[in-house]
Amino acid sequence: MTATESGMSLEDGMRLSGMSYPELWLRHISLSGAIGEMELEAYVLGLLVPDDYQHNMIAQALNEYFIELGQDLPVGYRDTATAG
Amino acid sequence: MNTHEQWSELLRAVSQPAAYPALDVLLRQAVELGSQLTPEAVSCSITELAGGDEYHTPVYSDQLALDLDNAHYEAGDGPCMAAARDQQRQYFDAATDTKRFPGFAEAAIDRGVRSSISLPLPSSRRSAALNLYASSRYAFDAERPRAVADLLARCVAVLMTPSDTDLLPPEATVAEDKLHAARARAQLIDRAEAALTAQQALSRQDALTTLIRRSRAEARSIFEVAREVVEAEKTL
Repeated sequence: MTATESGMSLEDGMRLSGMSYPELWLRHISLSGAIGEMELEAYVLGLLVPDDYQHNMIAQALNEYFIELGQDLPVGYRDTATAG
Repeated sequence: MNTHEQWSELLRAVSQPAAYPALDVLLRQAVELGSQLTPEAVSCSITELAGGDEYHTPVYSDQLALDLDNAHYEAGDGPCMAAARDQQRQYFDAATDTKRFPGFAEAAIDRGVRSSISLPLPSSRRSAALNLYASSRYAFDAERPRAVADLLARCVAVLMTPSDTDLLPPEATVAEDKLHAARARAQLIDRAEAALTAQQALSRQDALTTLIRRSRAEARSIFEVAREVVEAEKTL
């Protein structure tokens, strides 16, 4: 597993957004995500360890919220493959 | 099994309880997780109304949890009974709640327990609560232990009453129009992934990573990026 790049953790990003878990789950579904809401919650809380792909999908679901507000993407991605 | 593996197994069972005949084993695993929920957490148990006014403790992490639950029952009240009875979360602080729950407070202090949280286990069929006990004050005041305890309680509720239709997965209760809209947006992502897969011989995972990379580099929505990819595919 690669280290999380600079940026917020999923948990901190979730807290900053103020979103509810059902809302995040819908955003995850929008990205073609397929996990259940409780599993998603466990990933965000660090109770389950996502692989890089799952982490980046959840990070993107969170960052989409901030993009809609015209803000930067605060949640960190893993793996240099997503680096611009 | 480490804690991550225990959570993983628990959540798999919650999503498919019928596939796990030994739910009692998983409930014991759940209270073990509860007893380690924070560095200060020391014990965990499940209180259930057995019939009439009689409460009992069907699952517990250790003797301390059982002794504390029994102190509730002997005193006739306490945070775990209140949580199960009133279906409301109960916090207990040994320094300030001695008058609210005198019998239980004395037992808790004698055993070195300084705080607890009891969470109702939602069900239409039974009154029950998940209890977590800690050796320090304020152990459950922070947002994170409360969030983890809440998730654990929802897992336990499903495992205790797996056929309870009131305990549908949270995703099943999301408004249909919102779910429909989310799935419609997912189709755009799917089409963009398919286009990238065809053009660049990428896997689906790599195609999504490509979309994320562009979203990140250009600081714009992945859906805008996906739309561009799909439109570009049409012109080829």
